[in-house]
Amino acid sequence: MRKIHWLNANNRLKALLIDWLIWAYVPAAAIYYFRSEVARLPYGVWLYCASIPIGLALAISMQALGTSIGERIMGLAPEPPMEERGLERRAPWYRTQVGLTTALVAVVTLVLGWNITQINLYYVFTRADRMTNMTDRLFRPYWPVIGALVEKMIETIFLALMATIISIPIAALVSFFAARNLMYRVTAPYGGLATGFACAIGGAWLGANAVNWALAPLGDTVLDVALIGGILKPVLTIAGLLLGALLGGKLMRRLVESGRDKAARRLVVAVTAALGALAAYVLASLVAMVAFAASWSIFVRELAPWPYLVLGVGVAAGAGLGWRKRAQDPFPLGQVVYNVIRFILNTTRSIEPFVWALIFVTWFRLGPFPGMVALMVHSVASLGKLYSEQIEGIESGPLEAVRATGANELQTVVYAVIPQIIPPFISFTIYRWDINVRMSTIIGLVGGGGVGQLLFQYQNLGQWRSVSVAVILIVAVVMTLDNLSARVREKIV
Amino acid sequence: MLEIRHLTKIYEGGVRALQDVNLTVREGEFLVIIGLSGSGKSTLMRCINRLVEPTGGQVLYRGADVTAASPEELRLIRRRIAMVFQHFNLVRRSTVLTNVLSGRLGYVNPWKSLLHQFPTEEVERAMQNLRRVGIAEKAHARADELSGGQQQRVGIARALMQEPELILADEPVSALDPATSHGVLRHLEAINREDGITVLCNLHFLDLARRYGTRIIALKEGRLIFDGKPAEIDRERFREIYGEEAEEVGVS
Repeated sequence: MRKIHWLNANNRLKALLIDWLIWAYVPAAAIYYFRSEVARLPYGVWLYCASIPIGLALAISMQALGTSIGERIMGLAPEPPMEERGLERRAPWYRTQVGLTTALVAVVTLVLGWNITQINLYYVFTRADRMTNMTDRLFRPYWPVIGALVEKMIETIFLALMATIISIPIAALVSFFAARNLMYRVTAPYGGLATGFACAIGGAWLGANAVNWALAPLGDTVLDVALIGGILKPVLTIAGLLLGALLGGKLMRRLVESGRDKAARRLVVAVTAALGALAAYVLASLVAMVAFAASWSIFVRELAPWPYLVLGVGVAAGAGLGWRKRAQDPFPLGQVVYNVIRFILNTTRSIEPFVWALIFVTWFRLGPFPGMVALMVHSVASLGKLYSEQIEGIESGPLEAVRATGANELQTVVYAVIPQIIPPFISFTIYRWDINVRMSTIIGLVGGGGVGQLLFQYQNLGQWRSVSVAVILIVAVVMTLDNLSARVREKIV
Repeated sequence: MLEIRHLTKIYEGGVRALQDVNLTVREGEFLVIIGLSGSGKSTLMRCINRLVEPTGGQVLYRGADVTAASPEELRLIRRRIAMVFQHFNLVRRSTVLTNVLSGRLGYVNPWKSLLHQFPTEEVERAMQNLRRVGIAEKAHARADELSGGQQQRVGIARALMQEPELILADEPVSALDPATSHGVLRHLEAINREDGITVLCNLHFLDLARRYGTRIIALKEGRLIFDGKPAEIDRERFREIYGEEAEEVGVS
């Protein structure tokens, strides 16, 4: 009984929040409509804040006046049961509060939308002839440029192809770590993990700096120090990371296995304290950077001793956490890895290839290479998600059956997982290539190479007859590939 | 050959699937397990080869403690215990032959098997087992092109590839029609009699249990409530197992 009561209160609150949101939206929209007038008022911007209490007041009064939208959505509407209602028809929408409110919100939204997008029917009907000059030339394509365009089109297609091909193995590897059904079972002991993690950070730092130390005296020689350093630094950093993780984990396992629980515990506390300090340092640096455009050293100079106190809190929190856990306790490593990978994939995917191209153009200079890398990064994120969803959707029966025959884990993956995921993998990959071809035709806009570069060049020079050829070529190629990939996918699935 | 002592399984969320089950399976038996849905039949089978981890008790297979086995020991035990499933659990997109050969994965060179390389004699063995269940001509068809009864026979051929001492058949005919059910069960019976392979089989229908079992046990709410000869199950016992309102229905 009490549980139902609580649920009801919860739903009441949600209903009020929904109504509040709707009724605050209406005055806020009205204020935004008159934004140029509002800006002229002193403290005009604060007017928007008024919509919050107004919204609450309106929401409460609307709930008192009858069944509000929020109440209807949360199922709190007091509606008589069917048999009591008999043949009596439901009230028409213009006589219910829900219907009227919905209509009001729709009208407000449309009017505001019209206002914001500056829809101008006057131009639509009076300036049509301005187009004729351009359209006239678009319909008379200048065919001699086709040679240069085809050359660039080939670049475009290969750009998309390479981006897709390179992204496949990376996405396939990542997708296994982003599959809930595989990862949520994976755990690792706390102690080994903490020590391994700390040693990995140390190893990575050592690896990165070893290169600097080693190459410093070679600066004046004929060697290409930039190249050697550029290759060695990531390699040694990753090597240090892996080696550190391995050694740290092993050290802890030794301690636990030989029964030296006290030593293991002391080590765990020391390691977690150090990690706590590191976490505090990183967090404070981030806050300094993002919120104040400053850095840790500026913090220390300006705010001492407070930054040290923050470090102290990190140490205490880390040590406390380490003290509460035993070294052998399982840590849900799989869950953490799953969520981190998912987060990275989601953010990477939400950034358009265009923006990625802007970033890589600074790194790799103009041309097809940055365009290809931009498409590849976005493809890895998209394919990684699609692949992992396929892995999550496989039947567990065959897995169980192959495991029950005494097959090892690798054999189980090869015989029960891979046959199930190959066809969707191929299908998604072809689809992705399709998208990449379409994207790569315009990635030239930001300097990413391909036919788009030429298209925008013609457009900037006002050579509409050449633009026309480019557009025709792009449409033809995209349509052909679209058709082709659809047929191949049909055959496979 | 198989001894189960005080076996208990409590699933996460508190469902008590098995409660203190004690059972000894003798060499060469066709032991049928009956009981309502949710009485713990499948869990019992899966605890034997640890597809489900028991929460308490022991499973002894030929003297070896399955419940305490290391991953490698468990793999070697699983090799000798084959399993047949309610929904066949074939890899649909692979060929029948590959499905049958996968039953041999515990024996062959693991690295070669990753490249789908099997010795000729293993392929010959697979064909022989397919002939035995009467579908050799389907060897190169995809598994999902076969009918239910044929798929279950592939499942049996896969089980035979392990040269098992014990077959766990988890409701092998629940997804099949009556006529096909008898076909599949006759294959299991033949394997039991001719090869002397012990069979542990979950069945829904009592008349199938009576017809094929040499011994019957019954589970109810995770407890063993009957253990005896098929003929010993009379009207009263039946009601005890299936509940007061149950009527016996038959598969002819």
